[in-house]
Amino acid sequence: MSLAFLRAYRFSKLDTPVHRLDPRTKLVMAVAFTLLGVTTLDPLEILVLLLVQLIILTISRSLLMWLRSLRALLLFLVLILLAQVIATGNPLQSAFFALRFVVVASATSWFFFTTSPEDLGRALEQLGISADVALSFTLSMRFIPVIAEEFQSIFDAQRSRGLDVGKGNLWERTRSLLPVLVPLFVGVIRRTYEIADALELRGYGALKSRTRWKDPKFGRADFLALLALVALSAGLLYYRLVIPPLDLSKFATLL
Amino acid sequence: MAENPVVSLRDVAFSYQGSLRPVLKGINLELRAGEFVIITGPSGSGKTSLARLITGLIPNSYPGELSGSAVVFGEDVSKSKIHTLAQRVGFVLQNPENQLFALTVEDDVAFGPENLALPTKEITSRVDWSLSTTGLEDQRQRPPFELSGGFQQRAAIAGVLAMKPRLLVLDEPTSSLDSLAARNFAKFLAKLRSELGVTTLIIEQRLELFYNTADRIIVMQDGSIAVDAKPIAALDFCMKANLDVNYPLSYLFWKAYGRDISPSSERPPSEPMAYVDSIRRKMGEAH
Amino acid sequence: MTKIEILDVSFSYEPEREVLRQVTLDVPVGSSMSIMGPNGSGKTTLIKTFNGLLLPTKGKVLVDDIATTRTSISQLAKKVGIIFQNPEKSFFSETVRQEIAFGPKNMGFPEDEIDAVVNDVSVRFGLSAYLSSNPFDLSGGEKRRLSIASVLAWRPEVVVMDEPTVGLDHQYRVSLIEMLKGFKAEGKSVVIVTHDIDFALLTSDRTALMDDGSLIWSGSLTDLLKRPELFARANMVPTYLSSLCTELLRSGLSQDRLVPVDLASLLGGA
Repeated sequence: MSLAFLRAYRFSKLDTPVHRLDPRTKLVMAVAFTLLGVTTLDPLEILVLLLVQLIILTISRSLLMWLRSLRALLLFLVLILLAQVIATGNPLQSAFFALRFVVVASATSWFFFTTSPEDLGRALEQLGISADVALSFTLSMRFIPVIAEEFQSIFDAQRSRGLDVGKGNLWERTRSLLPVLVPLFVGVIRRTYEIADALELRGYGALKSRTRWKDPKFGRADFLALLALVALSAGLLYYRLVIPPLDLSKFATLL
Repeated sequence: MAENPVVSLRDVAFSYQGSLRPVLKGINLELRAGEFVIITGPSGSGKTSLARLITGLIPNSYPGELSGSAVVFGEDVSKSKIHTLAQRVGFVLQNPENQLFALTVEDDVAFGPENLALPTKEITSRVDWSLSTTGLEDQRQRPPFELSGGFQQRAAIAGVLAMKPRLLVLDEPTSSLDSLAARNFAKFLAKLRSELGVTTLIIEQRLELFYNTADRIIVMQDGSIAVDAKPIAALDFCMKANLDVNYPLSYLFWKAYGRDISPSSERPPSEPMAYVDSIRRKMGEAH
Repeated sequence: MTKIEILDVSFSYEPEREVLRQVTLDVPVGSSMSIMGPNGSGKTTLIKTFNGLLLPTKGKVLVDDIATTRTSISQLAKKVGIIFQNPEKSFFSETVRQEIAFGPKNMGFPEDEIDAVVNDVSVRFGLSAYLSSNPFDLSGGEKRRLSIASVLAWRPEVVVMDEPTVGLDHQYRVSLIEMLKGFKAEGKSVVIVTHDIDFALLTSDRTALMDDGSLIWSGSLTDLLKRPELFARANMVPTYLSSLCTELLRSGLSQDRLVPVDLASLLGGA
């Protein structure tokens, strides 16, 4: 169940206008949507933000993936909904509360669907984060499946020597995994040394600065997207400050 | 025209830090431009340590007691940095997995040129050239994790080639390949050498695939060089000295029966069929 | 004597990706068998079904007439010992003694018997001098011997090795051949998964050829040598030695003198 949740944030290689946007633009957009969503309880704002996200998801052809990721969050959503209904006695308001959660989660969702870890690393480098940090980030992503596979093969080997992991309480079961975790850990450390050597053997660190082959470049689409973002945010903020909020408390009597 | 040797080791000795036993003793070795040399010997004989020395991993990444003179492309290895030497010496380690860093093959091949701060156009041209030389164009967008062992190894080589090294060192390149992939690798290496003329040094146990095309074979034993000679001469020496070497079967059969079939031949025939009659005679079967 | 029967076994990790397709095979009791094929042919997946690590998605695997689905991995491991590739990646103990004792301990051997088997097996594999050493301090060949000793310690009747020659030098290969002869002499069934045709020729009587998850052919190695076109079907290349043996058989050499191949006698005792 936990692994399915991770899949909700995986990059998939498609060619859509959203995918082609500069990762920095998308980062700004995602942060903006998150902030806008978190700071409001107004149903109209929430609906607008949800609509915008849905549009982005549709353009980037990740709507289906997003829906699947919601399935993983379903339990959580239901709990939030129930808690709110019990607390306020207002089902409609609670629904919007839960919806807000979806809006905020979706902001990061489409970001990760449309931005490859590589692009993210390059964008971070461009934003001034050191090449070392960006490299550590992409290296970690690169080796996660490798380490997962190594865990499996060590686990297989130890089970073939009679290791039994099912018995006892949580503590006992974790302890019984030591014959798997110890060699895994040792292997990871060893691998780190080898990777460090291999990096140097490819000239990493030879010069003070390095070129970025596929530098994300700001284009017209990015300019337009950011413009639209500014317009949207201005509109929402105006609405928030000037127009009184929709009062849903009168719907409480419907219960 | 006497050119300076690419690698010149004189009286080199080395022990890893914290170890009393020297892994390299009295090493004298010269490598000339364009040569194809094989280093072989049992595990623990110092082959990998020798390769590490030539690439600067010793003493920079593996500190210890180093004596003697080790000069690679005119630079003293002990005073040079790994990444500086890496601009002329390409080292492909035994396990290709840990040498592939990026999330796609083409990004990984670009890694070296990026580190050399080459302009984008140059990087693109090198990446394209590297991928086509190693036959990886169809795999360029794939993540290294999804590649088979043989392809991963090619990707590691492509990454090193993109740095346009003048010396290529490969550590047991065929050790994890099956026989078909190993044979393909040998063909690939021959093609690479004829196209690029790059000086090549390989550490190998599977001599069968390479010994006929190598210029020299260096056999190591217990940290020293037991013999450094042309392939057949080196193997002859090992046989006389009773050294435990992974003798190629074609060589062994030639030694056992060659005189019966072609006494004047200097090289083992590639076809084993020639020996059938002799073997049957030896095994005592009637015709 | 433990027998293993693989009956029309198919296996997939995900619905679209079938890794084993309808494999039917018997592991002959008390003899040595090789499972050959290129990398990716499903050989490792197949042996994982022998001790229940993987359960077939279709068909069944019977070990001594009991389906692997009806028992546990630890029960099956008592009879079927598997040594996977790069076994040194699984070392976790502080001493060689502890590492060897791990298997027998898991299988419920009493304390004094554990000591006995540890000593026994360490003598047999030349490790008695290293019992108190750290496994990581051993040389490559010694590590391999330790991994084999750790499995032989509980005396399984079937020994399975996955690509035992990969990554190690020629000297170790020679000692491994001797080791395998020893297992056979004890009446153990041996299964060696390998892509190295020569090694199979030097150590096994029977073989199963796999390609892309299917069993292409199984039979005696002599029969395989008589039909070298089978190698191509399994995406493998005949070697110098296999071509030579094929020619010898064609020229009328009697079968029982050839396989497993004895290199020394082929070279005329040279």
